Amino acid sequence: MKEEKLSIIESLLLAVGRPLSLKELGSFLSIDEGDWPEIVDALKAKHNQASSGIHVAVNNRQIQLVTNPDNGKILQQYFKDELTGELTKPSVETLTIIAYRQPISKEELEQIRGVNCSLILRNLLIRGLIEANEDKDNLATTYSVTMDFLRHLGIATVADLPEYAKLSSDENLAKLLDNTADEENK
Amino acid sequence: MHQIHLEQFEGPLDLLLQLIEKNKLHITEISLAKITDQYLDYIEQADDLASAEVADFLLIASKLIYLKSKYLLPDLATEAEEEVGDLERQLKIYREYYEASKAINRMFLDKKHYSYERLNPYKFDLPQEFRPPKNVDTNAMAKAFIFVLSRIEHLVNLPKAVIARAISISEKIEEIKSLIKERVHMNFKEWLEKKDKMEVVVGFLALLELVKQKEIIVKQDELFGELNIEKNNN
Repeated sequence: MKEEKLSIIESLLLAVGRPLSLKELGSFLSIDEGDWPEIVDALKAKHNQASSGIHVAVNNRQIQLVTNPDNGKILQQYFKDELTGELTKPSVETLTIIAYRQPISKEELEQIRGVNCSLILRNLLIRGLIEANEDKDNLATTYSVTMDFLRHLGIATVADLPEYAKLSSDENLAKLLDNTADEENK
Repeated sequence: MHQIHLEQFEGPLDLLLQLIEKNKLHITEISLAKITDQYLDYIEQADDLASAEVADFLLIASKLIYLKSKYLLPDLATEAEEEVGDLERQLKIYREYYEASKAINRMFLDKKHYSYERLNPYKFDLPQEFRPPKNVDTNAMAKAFIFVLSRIEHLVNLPKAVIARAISISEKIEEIKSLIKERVHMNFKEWLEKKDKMEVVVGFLALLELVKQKEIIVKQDELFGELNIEKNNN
């Protein structure tokens, strides 16, 4: 049963091309919420390896088939593609915090950066590097990075970012800060 | 004193971090107290800050002045303690992400490692005409409008206290300066008559900062006596 669904999901992802939300796939294929981690892991295990030309990227409860990032340079030659896109310092900083802490609210982001972020968030939204999610229950808006951002970095999920475990949770960060403080006091 | 143009700072924490690094200090409360003057110099030189950012810079300034006054007057303890105490921690957290952002930038600029998506994604080809979704009726529209209203309410009720507080310290510094210019001398009590407790605390911190900057001289004849403020003409 699960094998069959895995196969259907793969075909859909290939045919549609753009990112599909787990919610949409779930209701279309009657997949239980709890089954997703196993399905996503199975897809990643099958595709995300050096020998596969097609990889699976997963972000913000969306899933998409993308090309193996290691082939990026050769594909660029084929498409004669000039990948533009330097990022300004505040853009990188804001993207970094969102990538490690997503989904993150504007308030939390501003708390970390210590500065008003309305303008920068709008710019990043327009460039398609982040997306806004609205939680209808508590009216809160949170921000996440987009698949486009992951593709630019050539990673399959934000968990592939350097030192992700350390920087993604308050608890680990607190521990980290305590250690740094100890070193500085030596 | 180095002249640094403020445009290169992406916010008050970025400025603080660069000052800490320039002075080769570790992030501690004492270091923060030490660089308070440099921080204030920089924000004084910046006349072109957007008003939204001014508040952010001044909020941090008020925390710095508080930290500094704490080291000058160890017995001074106010209820602001908890709020200010987290500045050191806040800066350390900021530094972690600041360092991480350098790695992210390298990855972003490394164009050899890049994934493509399918270039012509499948699209539903719909005729161009008015096609309201089937589930839209007057009830759904009323609900949607109530949802919009509740969102606005959330925005309207945003706390304004932070900004009010941030502006008041620098305002107080300016206020003392201009009053002293006008009147040559004045006394503290008279100046702060009819002001609330927070304003008195902020006013006092502003006073300490001006004494430190040698802008004014404060005389007090006896313990708990009147504080007389004069311009420092030397």
